[in-house]
Amino acid sequence: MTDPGMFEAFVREYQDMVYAVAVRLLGNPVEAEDMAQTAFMKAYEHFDAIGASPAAAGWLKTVTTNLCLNHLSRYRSRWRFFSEMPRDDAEEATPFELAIPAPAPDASARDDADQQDALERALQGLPDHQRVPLVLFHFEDKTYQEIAELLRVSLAKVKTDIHRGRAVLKAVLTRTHGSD
Amino acid sequence: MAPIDDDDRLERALKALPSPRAPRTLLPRVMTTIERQAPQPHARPWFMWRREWQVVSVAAAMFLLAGLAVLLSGPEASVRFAAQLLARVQPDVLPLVERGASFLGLAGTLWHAVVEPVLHYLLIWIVIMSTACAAFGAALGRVAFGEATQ
Repeated sequence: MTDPGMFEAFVREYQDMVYAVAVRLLGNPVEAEDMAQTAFMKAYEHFDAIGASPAAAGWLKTVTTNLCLNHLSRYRSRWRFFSEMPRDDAEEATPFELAIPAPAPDASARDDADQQDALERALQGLPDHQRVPLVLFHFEDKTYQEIAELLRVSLAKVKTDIHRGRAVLKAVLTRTHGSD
Repeated sequence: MAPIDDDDRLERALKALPSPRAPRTLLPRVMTTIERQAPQPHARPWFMWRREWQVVSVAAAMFLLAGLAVLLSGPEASVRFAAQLLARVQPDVLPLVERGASFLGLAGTLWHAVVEPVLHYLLIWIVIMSTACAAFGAALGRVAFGEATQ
């Protein structure tokens, strides 16, 4: 049987990592906490095998990623429908440029923390079809090909979605960083 | 601003993003759920019991079976012995016990004629089936309950 004390230490060690993966993939803190909990429940079921394993972090990341993608797949048809509709770049960028407040006139208020905060919010606010591949590429170190296989979409779509997501984030950076 | 600079700046900004920290509620939630889902000791299947409890339960079952066998092999004598003890305390129940002993005598005759010839085979069959069930349960426990290493 699994020792609850040992498992608590295990959760304490990996909770930030698991939550970070979930919240970046889902863009929703409440759902991310639910997914993180589910991932740890799965870890508990296999704790005898993975508890002391050096591969525990990788195992948890994979499980959390799959759980989040499964969670998102409930909306997959809607996701594909909207993401594959032809849209011009101006239309694409509009919601986030409006959502990000204009920089304060006082230059001292625009420090690194503000920029990181704005970028994180913009990342979490991206639509699923842009945020998920972008997070997998930048934070989970997946290749375009791996992302395409994981999401069961074409390679071209992955590239396009990441490009569009990056364009939104660049716009946020430019806004929060001013013209320097 | 050149696009290459924007890309480079975005790369650096994304790399510099601090990793989101788990909310304080996550750990208590996980531990509470685990406590709630943990099966109570008495609700676990036999092959999940602690080893010493398995041994004790097998010994108790054997003792019970042996007692039953002794009782059934001489029911009339057992009841008469019990009746003599009872008669010393409560003489009124003696006729009732005597009738019961007569009935048990008949049951004993049937036992000797029908059941006793196959009793040994039956016991051997029970032991084999119990062993097979225990072995199957142990194997199932290793595979289905996560005791097997991946």
